[in-house]
Amino acid sequence: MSCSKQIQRAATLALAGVVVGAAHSIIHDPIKLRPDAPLPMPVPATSGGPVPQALGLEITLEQAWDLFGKGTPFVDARRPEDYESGHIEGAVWIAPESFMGGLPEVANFLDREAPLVIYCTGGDCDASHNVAAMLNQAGFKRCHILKEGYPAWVAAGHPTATGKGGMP
Amino acid sequence: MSDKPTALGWLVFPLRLILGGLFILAGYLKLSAVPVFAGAIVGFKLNLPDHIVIGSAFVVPWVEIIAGAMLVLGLWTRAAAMLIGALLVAFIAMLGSVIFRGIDAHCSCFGKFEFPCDGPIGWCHIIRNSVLLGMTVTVGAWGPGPLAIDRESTK
Repeated sequence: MSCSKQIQRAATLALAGVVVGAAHSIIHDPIKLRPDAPLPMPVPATSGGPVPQALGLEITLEQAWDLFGKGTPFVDARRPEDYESGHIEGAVWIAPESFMGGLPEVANFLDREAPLVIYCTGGDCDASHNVAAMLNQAGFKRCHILKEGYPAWVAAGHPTATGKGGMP
Repeated sequence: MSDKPTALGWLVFPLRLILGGLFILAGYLKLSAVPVFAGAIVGFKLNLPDHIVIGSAFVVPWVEIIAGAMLVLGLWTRAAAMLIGALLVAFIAMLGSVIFRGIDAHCSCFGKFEFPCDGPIGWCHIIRNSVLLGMTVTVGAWGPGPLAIDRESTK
């Protein structure tokens, strides 16, 4: 059979993939590629002090340290072996691949309305943004990203832990 | 083509099934978590518009499943091998670009099963895809081999 006939058939198969893929994208829930800016924390009506500054999506090490002191949960979005060899004390492990079978079980133990700090290795690392986008999609409205990542936390001498404590 | 498969045909037969099965599996694993695959594409830092990223996250797995199924059935075998070969060349080029730019990204090629390549995209992924490309070229060049609808339809 001629080569052009084979190319024609290959193009037909590719077109079938495009049509089925397009149809699938229509019936699938919308996909969020980037996390939303977090909602500001509600200020209690009885509060007489200064209105706290709303935190943005990406937060600094100082802001993360402040949230850590308030008991805010931390999420480690790095590779499992990185988590095991060292992570922010008390952090749970939720990497992008944790969403392969839907929302990871550990997320059900986190408060969707409360702030959450997600981190990876800083710099070029996209994992924290991907995890934040997927948690957003699952209804977590106050995801913050520690932009400088785990290396900055370690360099500042803040508490860390090792082992699989926060892994499924 | 004679009706009786040759010895080489029987050697190509498992390659066709393995390739087809692997691509069905790869497509299925990607479709089981489309947002994860879309996030992986963003991680390649190709500066693609969002609608292209999301469209690719749906289309690529379906193309893999359709072409893989055709290989398993032995229907339009050479065309399916041609399409899978084109996909693999594109994947290898993209993986090479990620390595060349020093980006720490995950492949998500087989969902969370990246055997034998663990960790971020590296030469292991390129070698794995090159081996698959070699298998694809063999199947494309030799044809469906035995137990194929293509063969039955030409009897």
